[in-house]
Amino acid sequence: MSVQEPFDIQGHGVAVKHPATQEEYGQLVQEAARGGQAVYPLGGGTRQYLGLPPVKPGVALCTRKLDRVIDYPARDMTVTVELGMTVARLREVLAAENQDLPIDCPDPERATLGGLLATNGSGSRRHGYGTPRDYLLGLTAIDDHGRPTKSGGRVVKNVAGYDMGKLHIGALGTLGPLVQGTFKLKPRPEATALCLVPLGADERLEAFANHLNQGRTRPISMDLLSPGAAREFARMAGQTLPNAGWLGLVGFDGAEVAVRWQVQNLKDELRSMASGEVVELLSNAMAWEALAALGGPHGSTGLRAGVLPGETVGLARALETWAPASGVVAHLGAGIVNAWGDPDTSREPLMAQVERLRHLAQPKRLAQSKSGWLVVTRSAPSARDARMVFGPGREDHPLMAEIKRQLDPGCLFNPGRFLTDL
Amino acid sequence: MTATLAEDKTATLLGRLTKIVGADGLISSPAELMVYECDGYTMEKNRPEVVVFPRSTEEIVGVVKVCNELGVPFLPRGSGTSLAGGCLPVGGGVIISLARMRKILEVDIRNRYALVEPGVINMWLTNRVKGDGWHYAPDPSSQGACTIGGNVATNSGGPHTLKYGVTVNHILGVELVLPDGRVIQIGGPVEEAPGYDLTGLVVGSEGTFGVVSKVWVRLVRNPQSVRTLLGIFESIDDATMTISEIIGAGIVPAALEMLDNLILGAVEEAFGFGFPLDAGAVLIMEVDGLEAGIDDEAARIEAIALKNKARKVSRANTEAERMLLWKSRKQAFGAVGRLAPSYCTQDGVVPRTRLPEMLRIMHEISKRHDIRIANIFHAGDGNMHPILLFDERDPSQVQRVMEASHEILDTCLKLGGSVTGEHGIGVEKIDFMPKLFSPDDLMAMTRVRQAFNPSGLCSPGKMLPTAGACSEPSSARPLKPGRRAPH
Ligand SMILES: Cc1cc2nc3c(=O)[nH]c(=O)nc-3n(C[C@H](O)[C@H](O)[C@H](O)COP(=O)(O)OP(=O)(O)OC[C@H]3O[C@@H](n4cnc5c(N)ncnc54)[C@H](O)[C@@H]3O)c2cc1C
Ligand SMILES: Cc1cc2nc3c(=O)[nH]c(=O)nc-3n(C[C@H](O)[C@H](O)[C@H](O)COP(=O)(O)OP(=O)(O)OC[C@H]3O[C@@H](n4cnc5c(N)ncnc54)[C@H](O)[C@@H]3O)c2cc1C
Repeated sequence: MSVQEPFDIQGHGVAVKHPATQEEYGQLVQEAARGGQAVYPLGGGTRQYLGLPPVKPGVALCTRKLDRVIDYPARDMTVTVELGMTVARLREVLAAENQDLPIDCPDPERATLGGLLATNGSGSRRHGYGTPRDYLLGLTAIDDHGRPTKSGGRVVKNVAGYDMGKLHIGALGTLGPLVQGTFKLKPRPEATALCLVPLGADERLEAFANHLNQGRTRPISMDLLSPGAAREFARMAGQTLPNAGWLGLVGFDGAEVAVRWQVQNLKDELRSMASGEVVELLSNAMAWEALAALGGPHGSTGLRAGVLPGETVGLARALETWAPASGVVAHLGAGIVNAWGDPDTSREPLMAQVERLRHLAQPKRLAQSKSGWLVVTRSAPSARDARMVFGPGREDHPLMAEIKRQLDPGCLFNPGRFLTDL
Repeated sequence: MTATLAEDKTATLLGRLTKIVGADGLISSPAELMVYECDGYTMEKNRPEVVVFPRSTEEIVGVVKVCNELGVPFLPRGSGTSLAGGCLPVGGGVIISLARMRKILEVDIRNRYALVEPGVINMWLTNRVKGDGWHYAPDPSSQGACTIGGNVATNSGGPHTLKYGVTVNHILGVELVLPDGRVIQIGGPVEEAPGYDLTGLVVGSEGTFGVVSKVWVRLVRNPQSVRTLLGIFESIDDATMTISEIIGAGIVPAALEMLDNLILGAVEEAFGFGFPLDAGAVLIMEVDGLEAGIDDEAARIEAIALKNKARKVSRANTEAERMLLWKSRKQAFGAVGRLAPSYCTQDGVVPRTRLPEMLRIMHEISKRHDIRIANIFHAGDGNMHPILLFDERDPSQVQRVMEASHEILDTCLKLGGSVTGEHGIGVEKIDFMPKLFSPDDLMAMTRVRQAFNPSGLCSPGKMLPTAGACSEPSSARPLKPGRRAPH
């Protein structure tokens, strides 16, 4: 699958080049730098709407041709690959050895590993498995002179040198293109299960969330879906829902006996709490995929917020009514909430709306150190500026800006994309 | 810079620091400073000018500002259990000990975190929350002594990090006193605030980015059940083959630790667990999780061990027996003193399938240099801790220990591994950095250090083979003033 050209990055058409090797990628970076052009690292192009629009003419350097397996010592449970490889392709390679990189990704056929790292992608299973930072062991990035720079290594435990990989994860490509990485892997579980917990009315939600934190089971995922999100999920997963209210989704995996035991326990424990019977979804592969892909229709406005886990339900409820046609998916273990909807998208009303919601994520009764955050992941390019997308700066942002200045003094990589100054 | 500052400068320094931490908040007499000449790595020593014991973030800030004004290097220190010379005051100057910042400030089980001061001892935290059925997962063998701040700085591992991850996987955020005295919160109890993951970067930065003054750590629920197996093997080879096969079979044990014959003798003498003294090696193999299915997993491990010629596989039948087994493992270093007057611990890593090969080579290195090497390590991670036994009064032995150590670490690199899995680069392994990384790789790291620590006054001479402020090549650095041959 190839990307369209020129590639549209938030309303700006950018010419695309497709280097075939890491060396060529580096040369093109060097060329761009010499010509005073910016470099826009491009993976599958599934999430270019994140962050802020480009501020400088430049070239999109696509990683898709960098998709080789460099080394897969399966018995060491690590793999080294080029990062233009799609998530789906890596899964296929690993499946042959009954292994996996257990990170959820909405569009795995198109999304690349580089994009997954740059956007710090994660989904429901993060509760049991963590996020990309828990898997990346070593990384090669291209620096502002077009040279490869590596950090970490290929073994599962290594503390030599600074962990530059952590810095690049979630940096939206602003510290340089990522071309090669080594990941720690997990064995595929013998069994998985996804249970549907009909919750109906609002007052059950908090009890449900609190219970999961102390019940006898150890879920790998625990999500709360608003009625709108539940409908969307049911449609995508080909399921029928017991009722039209809020929905809990609880996932397990591991040895068959352990999964069976947990499903049964969950049913018993939640019997009095749920508004209907807890149901285990059959043919659950499709349901897991639907859950990972759940993010609202293409044209909708998207929000993502983080709060203390114990505050998640409150925020999810507030987001349920934030806009017409809304949907909310809350990861209860991590306190991460994704929401979408069709609000009035003209600038002032949207800004007012976003600021109101940001206040909810930063309740005054909590100490500043416990404040949450809210970003606008997807919206019309015209309304995307730092205040709208990321909100007010935090006290560590000047340090981030200094790191950006050190690693990319010419502001070559994705200029303007991330926060102010980054 | 020489080890001692001019006398009037010292007087000014002491006077100003006393105003901040009080007369009982610092030490400066040579006798008292002796303890601070080195840490768990004793091959090199240097005396600091003064050691301060701040009680609060504000006091740390005050100390750091004075150091900046007077151009004096400073260095954070937890319990000094570093095995890489992380606490060696290379440029003399001020050691900032966090030993008086030992409060657990907050425990929030609902939100799965605790907030602690950096001097809190690792074990205290788990002791505090275990009644609720929770724990702090990273469990270095030194956990009875080392601090959370030190763990953060070195990204410590431990037996159970095989399944649960190392320190970085459990740190949500820190408060950091930057080398210029600014205080910032990085990360925090709410996950994934927009921006770069500075928390992930600060963990493992070995004190070169400033002084960590608070830490938000993740708390983890205790597993419902645990099974601990002890496998007795005739040879190291059989034990390492077992490890390799367990991992290869896709089993993720909670811990997989190996002890060889040499260390067994010492441990047995110290703790009387009942290890067979004629065994070539033993493996401590632990699985945890839900009760349902756990015996099947234990049985699979047992079968693999027996297939690889284990003489016997037994289970810890009671919690007391399990605790004694772990005590024998975790306090084994303490028993090493029974084997030789001095020892030097290495921290190499190889891909776990190369362990059998690596141990064979190590045996050969031991014979060739005529240095006894005891082995006790986190086998499941491929992270080895060969302990080289010697007598530091014999210069020839010291020389051979150095050579053997370097040969072991070079072999780790040749097999695709690393020279440190958890102890850090410190000063000890700084010369290996150019073997692990290209000049461009090191330049990128130097640029990042520059963002945090532009003056280079904070922890000079650590981690990167370049001087603090600019990126001079290794040969030009005025380093190792403190290095002196052990005697
Ligand atoms: C705020 C936010 C919200 C998200 N929401 C969700 C969600 O709800 N559900 C979910 O599962 N996932 C979510 N993600 C993750 C995201 O969907 C995916 O991770 C996706 O994999 C992007 O891959 P891509 O190849 O299509 O990248 P692209 O769309 O091509 O690029 C995305 C960004 O990454 C950069 N980039 C791409 N490749 C590289 C590279 N090799 N090196 C450096 N930079 C590169 C680009 O410059 C661009 O800034 C979210 C991420 C963020 C930050
Ligand atoms: C018997 C024994 C067993 C050990 N077992 C293990 C093990 O299983 N796993 C393992 O990983 N390590 C192990 N170690 C090594 C050591 O215990 C760890 O590295 C530990 O994390 C050091 O903690 P500390 O408080 O003693 O730190 P120190 O030794 O005092 O300092 C270590 C480094 O951290 C820096 N530092 C300390 N506090 C701060 C702070 N607040 N802010 C910024 N920087 C700081 C110092 O400058 C130094 O560079 C062992 C050591 C011994 C002696």
